[in-house]
Amino acid sequence: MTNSPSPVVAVTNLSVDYHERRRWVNVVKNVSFWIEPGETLGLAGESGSGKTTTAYSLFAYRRPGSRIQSGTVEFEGEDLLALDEGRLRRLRGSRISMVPQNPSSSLTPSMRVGHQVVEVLEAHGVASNKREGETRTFELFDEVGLPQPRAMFQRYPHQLSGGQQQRVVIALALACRPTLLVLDEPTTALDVTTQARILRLLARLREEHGMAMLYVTHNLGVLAQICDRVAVMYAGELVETAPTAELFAHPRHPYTRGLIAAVPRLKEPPGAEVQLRGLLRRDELPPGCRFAPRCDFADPKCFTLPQKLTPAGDPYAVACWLWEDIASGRRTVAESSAGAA
Amino acid sequence: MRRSWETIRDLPAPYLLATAVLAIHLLVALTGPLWAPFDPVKLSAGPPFTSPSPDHLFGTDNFGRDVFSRVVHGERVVLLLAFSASGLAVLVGASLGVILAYLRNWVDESAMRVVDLLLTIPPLILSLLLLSALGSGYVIMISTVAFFFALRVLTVIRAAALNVVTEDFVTAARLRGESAWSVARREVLPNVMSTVLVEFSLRTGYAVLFIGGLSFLGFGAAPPTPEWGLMISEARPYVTNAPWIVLAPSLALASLVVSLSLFTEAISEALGLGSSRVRDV
Amino acid sequence: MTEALLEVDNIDITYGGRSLFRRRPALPTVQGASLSVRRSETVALVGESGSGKTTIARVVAGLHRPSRGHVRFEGVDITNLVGDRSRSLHRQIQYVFQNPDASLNPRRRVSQILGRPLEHFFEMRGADRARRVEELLAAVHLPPGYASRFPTQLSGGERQRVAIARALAAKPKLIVCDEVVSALDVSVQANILTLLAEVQASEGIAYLFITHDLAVVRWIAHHVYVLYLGRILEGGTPAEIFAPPYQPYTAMLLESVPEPDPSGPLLRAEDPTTESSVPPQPEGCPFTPRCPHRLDQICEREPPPHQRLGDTHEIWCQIPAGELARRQSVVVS
Repeated sequence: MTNSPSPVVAVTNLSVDYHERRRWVNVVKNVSFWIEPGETLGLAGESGSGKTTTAYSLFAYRRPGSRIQSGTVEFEGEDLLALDEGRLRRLRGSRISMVPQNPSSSLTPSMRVGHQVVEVLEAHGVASNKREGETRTFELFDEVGLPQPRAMFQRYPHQLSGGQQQRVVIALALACRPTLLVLDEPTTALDVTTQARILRLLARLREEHGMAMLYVTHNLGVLAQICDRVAVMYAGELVETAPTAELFAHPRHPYTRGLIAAVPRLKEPPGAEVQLRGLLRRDELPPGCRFAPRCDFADPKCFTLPQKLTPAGDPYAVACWLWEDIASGRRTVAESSAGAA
Repeated sequence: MRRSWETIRDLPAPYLLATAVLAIHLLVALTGPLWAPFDPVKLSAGPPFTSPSPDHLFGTDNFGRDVFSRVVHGERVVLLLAFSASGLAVLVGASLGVILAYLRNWVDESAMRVVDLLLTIPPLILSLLLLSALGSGYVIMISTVAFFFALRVLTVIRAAALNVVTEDFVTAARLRGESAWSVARREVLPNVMSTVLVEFSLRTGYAVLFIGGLSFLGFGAAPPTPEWGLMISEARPYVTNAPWIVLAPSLALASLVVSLSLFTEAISEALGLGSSRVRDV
Repeated sequence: MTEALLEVDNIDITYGGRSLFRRRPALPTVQGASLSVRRSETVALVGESGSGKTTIARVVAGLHRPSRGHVRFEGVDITNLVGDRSRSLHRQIQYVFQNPDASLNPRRRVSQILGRPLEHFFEMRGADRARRVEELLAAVHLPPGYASRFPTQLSGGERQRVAIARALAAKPKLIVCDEVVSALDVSVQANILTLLAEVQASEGIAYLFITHDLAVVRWIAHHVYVLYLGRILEGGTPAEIFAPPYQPYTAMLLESVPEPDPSGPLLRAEDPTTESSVPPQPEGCPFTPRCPHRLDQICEREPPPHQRLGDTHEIWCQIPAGELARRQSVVVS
């Protein structure tokens, strides 16, 4: 897959630390991935997995109290981490843009939503005057499926429903025709029906504009709908990457199996045997595989043997040295718990 | 709490300096009378109008009283009056603010209209009217000052409590059938406590100034009490010949007010409430 | 015939109205809703935001008074506000909120959060109370050491466990679960649902379970009601709800579920036909503008008729169930 045309973005060996209680705590460790033009990559993980931090690194955005310890973020051939603020500001919101989780807090409450879009268009030089900005905004609103764009233009954020607000935010993100759209839990705060419609909208927009997307969420069910590939993150590390269909048909990492099993579903009752137990505790990570304390297949060796993402039959990669045994059924839950006892 | 301490430790130098100055003021108020060299009301502790010297650090006044001893003794008077006024204001204002926010019914709405009306009256003028009508005792003065400050405290605490009363844990307490008093005390008050602390500190600073002002105008402490405002007022005629009589209490007053104000800002930031400078007064 | 524990009988709920200094138009949010919950049973109320599901929950809890209709608990009318209810009723109906960040007082330790209902309802103090707090923590699978923690020192899932433990402290007969998993990671959701089922099995508590996601209640509910803009449109056992014929809105809810299956129906399904901007009449079917099967001139004007399809299965729709079944394909295989 690496021989394909140059990716839109390639993250290499990214490590990020946070300043907490007067010391640096590592939250993202040696994460590498790339996204090809027009491709949608899903980034899955629980709260505290570092998935949002990773997403923000695509903007070379350092949250106050955080530092990028190492790594490169190559966007269209440039290392973003080496660029100055001025260049970054021109890229952010135009070439790369973000759809955050909570639409109501990403819109200015006291400004008509239409003007907020016009402002972005003018700031990035897409529209040269107000008239042009307005016309373009009506088009954008129409494109993201907001009914009666002209009436919508005059509304304030609080006069819109959650789904409509998120459509405005998507219109804002698309205003400058970005090549990469980063979506951080864009539907988590919404009803399932609204979520479904936003997902359909994103699928259509992707088809029309061919932008690449990074979709970040804790719900693998959502990623199954929209992604070409999925990367699963645990405690700051990638533990598995695979094309979507393959990931759901044959999850290799025990954590991925657990995450898939946790998705509420209509078809069959969730199997209690694969349910994820325990919690991600950053202060109690073993030196070996970070997932070992919660893993049903874990072996005493897992706790001491660090795991790295390694090819598991191109284009899959998994960070579990036992994956073949687990996949083939040679290693079962019962056996390992007996072994651990 | 630990986080608050860490934040305090990381505060900028002016805040630390202000805290140190304030600590000195408090120490003087507590222990001053034990070590002040002279009796503050003793006449002819030295010759009148002696300029500052090792014997009389801040010189003597027109009656030959030791200005340093008067300032040191005055600290206790000034702080006691200010703390009483701000304490009373915060007690009354915070209780009413929390209760009104919790009730949020017609009682609240009517009460707030009355408060809005009272807030339009300039406090100094009405205080002077009240004090001249009722006579100028400490109790009346403190009550008057506390009354006006309580109105401000009430609006601030009510606003803070309004954000808390809509939280689900308050609803959970209502669903248990808890009394309004119990909900206010157990659920709401602990969550506005930081605002209450900041208000107390802020109002104390204002009270020092306000009471000093009243005394200056002759409506507060009575001579020969070593109250700073009164001392400044009494020393006015001699400001050109013996400036130290005015300067000493003025500087004491100024350093107390400034350090209290900076300290308020410091705790406000440490408690995560943001700068108090932007809030109304 | 088992007697219903909770009966909501044909209630209308109106919000707004006026106060001393303000006037707001009164808006009906729920119309003619009826439902019942039996002992030790889980009844799900499913709908999107604005459907009135939380409003119904608040009426059951006594936070709001319906403008018409009655609520009965163990046969006794409780159509009143929480302040007028008896302490024993406060105890028997407990409420667990959506967001555990907001439902636990951040300034109180877990021991105080769980201890307060014990003190309030059972006058339990000292060592007795501490012992019971430990039992409650054990019941929700939290270590006893958590008693001394503040909510901010817990994860979202752990906080929701504390909130459930606080409800259990009252030894209730009914717990109203208002979107209790939707603020949590999916991996934690599954654990909380398992915990709720476990508690029900051991304590015999009934749940009124409010959610916007049908998939969440598929395996835990005994009975499901589907609510849209204040009107119940379908009711039945999960087996009945999840098989055709579907009320058209139920079908839309089912198609919206993001199953962990890349070949699922979500993206294949069509967005609802262009929404008509004309709102339906108050008595018409509120789903009309989004309904792919709507009958113009009828659905938006006349109340959707009640169709009983079995002992427990009922739908409200102008289109006969047989016709619906013919038009619909199976969403869940």
